[in-house]
Amino acid sequence: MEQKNPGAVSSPACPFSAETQEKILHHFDHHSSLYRDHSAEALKLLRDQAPVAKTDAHGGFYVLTRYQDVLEAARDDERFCSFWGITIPTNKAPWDRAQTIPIDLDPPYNELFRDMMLPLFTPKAIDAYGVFLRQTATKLVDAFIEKGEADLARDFGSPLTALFTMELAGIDHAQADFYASTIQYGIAHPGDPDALARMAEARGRVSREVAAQKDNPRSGGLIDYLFKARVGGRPLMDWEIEAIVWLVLLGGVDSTQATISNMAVHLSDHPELKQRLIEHPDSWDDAVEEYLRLVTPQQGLSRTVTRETSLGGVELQRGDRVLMSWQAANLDESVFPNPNEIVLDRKNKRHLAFGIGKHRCMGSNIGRLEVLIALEQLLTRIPDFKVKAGEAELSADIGTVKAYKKVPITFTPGKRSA
Amino acid sequence: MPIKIILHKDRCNGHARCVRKAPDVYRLDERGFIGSAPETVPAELEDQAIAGAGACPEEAIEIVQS
Repeated sequence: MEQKNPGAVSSPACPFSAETQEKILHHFDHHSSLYRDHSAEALKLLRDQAPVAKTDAHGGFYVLTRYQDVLEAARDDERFCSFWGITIPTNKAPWDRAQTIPIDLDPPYNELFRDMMLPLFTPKAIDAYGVFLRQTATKLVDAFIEKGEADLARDFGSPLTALFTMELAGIDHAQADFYASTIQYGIAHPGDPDALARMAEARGRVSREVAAQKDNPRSGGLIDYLFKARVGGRPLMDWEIEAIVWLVLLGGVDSTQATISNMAVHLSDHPELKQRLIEHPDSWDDAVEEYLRLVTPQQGLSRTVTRETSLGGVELQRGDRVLMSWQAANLDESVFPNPNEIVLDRKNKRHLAFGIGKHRCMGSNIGRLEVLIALEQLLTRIPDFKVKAGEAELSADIGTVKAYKKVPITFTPGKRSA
Repeated sequence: MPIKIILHKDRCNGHARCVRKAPDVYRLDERGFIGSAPETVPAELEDQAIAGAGACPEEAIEIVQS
């Protein structure tokens, strides 16, 4: 028998009018406000009625909502390739060189870069990052703990992950806020001309950073590591280094802070679950996995079909685009019973929050550690925190990353750590 | 009944979830991919071994009754 959990939320029957259902089933758009406000219900409708659904949004694509179909596409890089762009819409043309490395590349080329970078992401390397992360998290909480209120997104999740990303990349910590706010804005406003201009400015700053460090090496950190590294026996080209650093920044400053905010909002809404976690630190690891599954921060990525094939019983043609919804896969009730609940003792940990296969997120265990350390700080230092009613504000667009712009909280003031 | 571990190394993509759940059973190589595991598991480590296998998103670790 599946254990009932204090974190239970009721999942109502289909809440949509016939007209809205039609919109979801034939014109699905993960960048719409309909998706932002009803993503879990929309994905369930698709999974139940059209698990490989064709939509005419963004030039047309198929959206995959069953766990097995997402898994099959993500694992088969020959049939479902990355080089023609991994987001929908994409701003990468087929003739463009990779903008982010290794994620834009297909095997075996992505593996060349991945293998070169792996030593930075081993469990041992990550244990060492934990020291920096705990110190940083403690200081950030110190800065607001006496006030009794804070914005968890602005004052905690975002600076924690951004400062660490600078540390990992080997970029001055003073740049953390610029990169975090610019990239978060860019991801939350895809296609918006102002957002594109700001992203271009940040990307330009990466080029200047790499050039500056070439003249004045900064020891330690990713950029320094990449200057000394080899792929296929040769040094990296500057544009390759920039494309790697850009990917680390994109991956580092948004999705994990999003998970921290999503978790905080859910905990505030589920005081019994929060209490249970306060009393059982040994279940925090499981809580982190469940939060990654329940509110998958990077909602999904796309692939392009390379040849005539079928997936989930639907015929696909060369050039068709598919959106692999990690979020939908992670809420597939045939794989995760009671998918909308945090079930701490859930046996199946095979969620797809970090993707799967040769493109799985390299920073996955850093992200997990950041979320765990955030949970530690919240539950031990401001355990009675509550989100101010109605004040948590989701991003304008959650199609790429489901993040909060604001998570204002109140709590009983506490003492600084030192 | 004792259990046996079969590693499918070709499926491993270095998530390292197995060592997180079962640090006394699984060993990673220098890249962070699955390196080794004892073929037969001492009784006191069976629970760990099973949890570690279950945590692998790639299903690279198979547990069989021997």
